[in-house]
Amino acid sequence: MTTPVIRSSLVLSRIPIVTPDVPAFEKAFYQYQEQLERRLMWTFPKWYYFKKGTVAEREFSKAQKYPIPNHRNVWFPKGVPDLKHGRDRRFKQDIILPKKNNDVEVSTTTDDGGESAASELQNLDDIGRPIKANSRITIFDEKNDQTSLERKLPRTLYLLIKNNNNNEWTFPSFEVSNDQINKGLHNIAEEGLRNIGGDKINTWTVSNTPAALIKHNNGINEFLIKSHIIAGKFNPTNKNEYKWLTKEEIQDIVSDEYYSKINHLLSQ
Amino acid sequence: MFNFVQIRGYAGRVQIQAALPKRPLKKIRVGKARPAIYYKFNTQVELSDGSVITRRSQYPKDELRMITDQRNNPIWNASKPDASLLDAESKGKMNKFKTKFSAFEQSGKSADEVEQETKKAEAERLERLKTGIPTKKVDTEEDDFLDLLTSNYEEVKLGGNIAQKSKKKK
Amino acid sequence: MTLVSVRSFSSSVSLGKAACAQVKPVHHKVRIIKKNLSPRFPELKYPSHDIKSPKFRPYLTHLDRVDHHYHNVLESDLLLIGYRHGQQPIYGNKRRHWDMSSPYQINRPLRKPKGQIVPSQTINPRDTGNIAKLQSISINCFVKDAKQYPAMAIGATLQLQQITGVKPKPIYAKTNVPNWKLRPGMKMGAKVELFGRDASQFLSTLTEIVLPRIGEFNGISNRAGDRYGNIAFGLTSDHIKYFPEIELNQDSWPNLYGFDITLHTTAQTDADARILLSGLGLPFVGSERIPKTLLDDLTVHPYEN
Repeated sequence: MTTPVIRSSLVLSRIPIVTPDVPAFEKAFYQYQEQLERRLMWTFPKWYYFKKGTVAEREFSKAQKYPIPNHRNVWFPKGVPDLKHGRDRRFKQDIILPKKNNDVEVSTTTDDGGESAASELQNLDDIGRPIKANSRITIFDEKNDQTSLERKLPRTLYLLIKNNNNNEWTFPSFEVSNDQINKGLHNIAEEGLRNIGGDKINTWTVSNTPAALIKHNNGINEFLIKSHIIAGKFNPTNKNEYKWLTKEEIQDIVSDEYYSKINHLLSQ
Repeated sequence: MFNFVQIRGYAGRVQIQAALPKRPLKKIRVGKARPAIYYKFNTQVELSDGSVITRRSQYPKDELRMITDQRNNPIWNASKPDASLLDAESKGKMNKFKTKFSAFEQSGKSADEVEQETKKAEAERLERLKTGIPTKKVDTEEDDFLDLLTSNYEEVKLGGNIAQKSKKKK
Repeated sequence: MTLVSVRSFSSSVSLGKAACAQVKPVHHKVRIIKKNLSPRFPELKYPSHDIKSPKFRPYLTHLDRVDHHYHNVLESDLLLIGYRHGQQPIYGNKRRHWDMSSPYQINRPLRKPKGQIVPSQTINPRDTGNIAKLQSISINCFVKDAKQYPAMAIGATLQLQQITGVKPKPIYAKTNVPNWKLRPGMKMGAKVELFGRDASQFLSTLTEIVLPRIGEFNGISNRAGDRYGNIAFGLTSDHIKYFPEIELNQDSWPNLYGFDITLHTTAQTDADARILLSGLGLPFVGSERIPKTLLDDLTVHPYEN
């Protein structure tokens, strides 16, 4: 009787870095709900946040667009305005916050393309620079560099490695020899990853419990250990081909049989 | 003249009112009419590592920049020794001492040597940032004379095990 | 008499009314149908999520970052961490039946559990159905000095409103302690319970902005918790100033009030709750004490009643 061979595989993932992409329908729904909420919001208590006679109060008042008040001899085609605290109570309230002076300066510098990068660097020291979120699409997205970790920021990426023998893409998988049997599957997987990918990588293994078991036709039992990359980089020592892929990309690259067995482990 | 009236609420709570109201109260409790939805702004908050999050805040401000936050605090960034060192040192007494007397540390070294050392420290720092693994000190590097003082030193123990005597339970 | 359909919220309708309505000035004129406010015909009322209901409050107004992180990353990890092969339920100490040796025991309520007064919960094996989730966050701000200066309770209420963006409820003293000059009915502070997006934002503010800036903070104590997955900790008045709403408006806050935060989770034990909360960005320190009964969850217990 031959004992079945055990393999320990590592499902190494990079969790999303930015918030997920919201589909157009959901975006429209959120916007609709937000507008409903804006309609039901109470009047902004200007008197609480801006004390009378201060510079801030004056600037704030200057920035507002006040609706036209009701007048006896004026006909209002869209209904008589009903003002209270400078707000037309029939509609939602729109508060315009006064713009800072340096906002204008920056917009002029970014117009002349050549200097914008240099001025941005200078601006990094300026504590009052306007806040601009970084692009959700990186240069690695544009190049479609699938070995990069700074790609597909709103998605979870998984490490896949090309098997040199049969040219198939799988999770990094390591054989458990008989002398290693007491070591623990998670330790074997972690060590194997360091062997093929260098030790310049910091990972956190979720649990020593395997997340799944794949029973292969040739009697091999493959246990999948879940882990997250925290810092560093996978740097193959023996010129192995590797890729960091999203769920859909994994479906394209691996065999259908393999995908049907790992499908439920992959998150968005 | 005041008339003290006790009104017993639902939770057995006693409310004391100073005087009788002119008309009998008929409350529309606030929760039973329109709910309290306060005016809120969408505030963009930039954290110290450059990531931007959106908060919904009542304070009239649309931009907020943080200097210290989760992204450079050692407790939340155990895998980034750089962040921990930066922050931990900037608070401690040791850092104050170093900034005050850093000139003495460089004494007896040529300008080239100082430059090389700063370059090396910078390279190590970058390495640590990338991998999260602190670089190992090479043995030959160590010429710390303070180590000589502690090399053959053994702590003198006095009093035997008396200090470890545990309290007996009654 | 017909009801006045356009009713201003800021003032009561003066004509033809014997009573005065006390409604806070909301200033918008989204109509309420007054007959729907009456408690008389509950089956005719709209549910609060219906836009026709006067209680309607849109809450799905933006993407919930914390919730998405929980469902996308944490949930599956928590299942894997909590799962143990062959895990058995740990039966709690429940109320006991009478032995019916006396006829007086017929129709008596059940006996107290052995050695305790309140029955304890049964802890089930972790599976896909009972993964821990953050349910709500309740904040309780009790101001001791409010008995001397009643205005402080109002200040505490406003502080909670500013920080959370939700309307707080006042808390009143319940007991009569003549030595402390405390009498029942005195307003002593405020409390608020946050759900959904409000809770998510409060949690992310806490973990990203407030707690990291508190110098002496190095984590929530591992001893905190009520045994059944609710973790509580406190912030003192010195820590409140790091909340952005307070920090930007410091002139308005001559004195601040510390409060207690309770994180309500659906976890069955405190250890599970701590794993969930550390995944949500709250650090924990100190030695952890896990009751011995929780550790032997692999042995089969006889069903005790």
